[in-house]
Amino acid sequence: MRIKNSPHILALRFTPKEFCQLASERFVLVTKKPEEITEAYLAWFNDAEVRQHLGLAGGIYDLPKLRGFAQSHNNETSFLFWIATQDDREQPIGFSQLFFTRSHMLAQTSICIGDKAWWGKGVIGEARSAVLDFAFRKLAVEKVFGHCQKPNAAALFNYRAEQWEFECVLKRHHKVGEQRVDLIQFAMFRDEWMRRIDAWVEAQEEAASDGETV
Amino acid sequence: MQDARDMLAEAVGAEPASIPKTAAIGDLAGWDSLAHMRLIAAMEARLARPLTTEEMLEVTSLETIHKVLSA
Repeated sequence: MRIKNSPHILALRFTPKEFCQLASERFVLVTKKPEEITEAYLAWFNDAEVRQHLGLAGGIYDLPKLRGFAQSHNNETSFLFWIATQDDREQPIGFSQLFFTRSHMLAQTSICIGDKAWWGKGVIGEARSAVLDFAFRKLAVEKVFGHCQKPNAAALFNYRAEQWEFECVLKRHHKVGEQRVDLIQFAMFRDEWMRRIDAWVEAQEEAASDGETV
Repeated sequence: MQDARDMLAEAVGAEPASIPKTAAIGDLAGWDSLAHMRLIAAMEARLARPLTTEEMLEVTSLETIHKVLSA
């Protein structure tokens, strides 16, 4: 199954309530059944530097707890995509969540790259674009929003680089240790997303008619 | 502006002279998330205080780096 004309998703397998797999150029994003979660998934999950601005409650995760975390997503209105490279699909380097409110055609997304060897390598832009393309064009979501905690300069950079629309600052909204921090909200709307897709399609068609490769 | 240019150049691993006046997120090679973390840390060290949320949001180009450092 493909999403037609997608620069972000090269392959898609989706069975609502059961399973979803997205393939981007370098990565696969796949939901997992709890029993498929192995110790390998804990490699970076409890790293304090990885977790510090994630807003993920619950302290230290062991395998049963991580499996419970996976089980809490239903692959219909909530998705937990484990991100891995095409070459090593059994060793996730991060994860992305998508929560869908059908009554408002609204979704919230978050993403974490836990394997520090992949920091600064454009993973978030590529992986999140696959999730957004799935949300906007497969689920027909009309708005997606996401957050970052104010001290998280890397997350803020990524929202800016991906040209999300700044919405608001939720003052002292989260707690990191004993400190309250601002939460910054960004949004992406379906019409803007489709405008970008249309621009990409047009560029591809122009390049094809010129005999070029884009 | 030279201060801001030097700081951005250091963060992205480039020579200051190679940083154009119009340098911005998305069009300057090497300005990735890790470089951005280094840039923010350098700005905060220079100002001897954390950037405010509004300042963090503003830092998107050489020009706005200069603006925040000059405020």
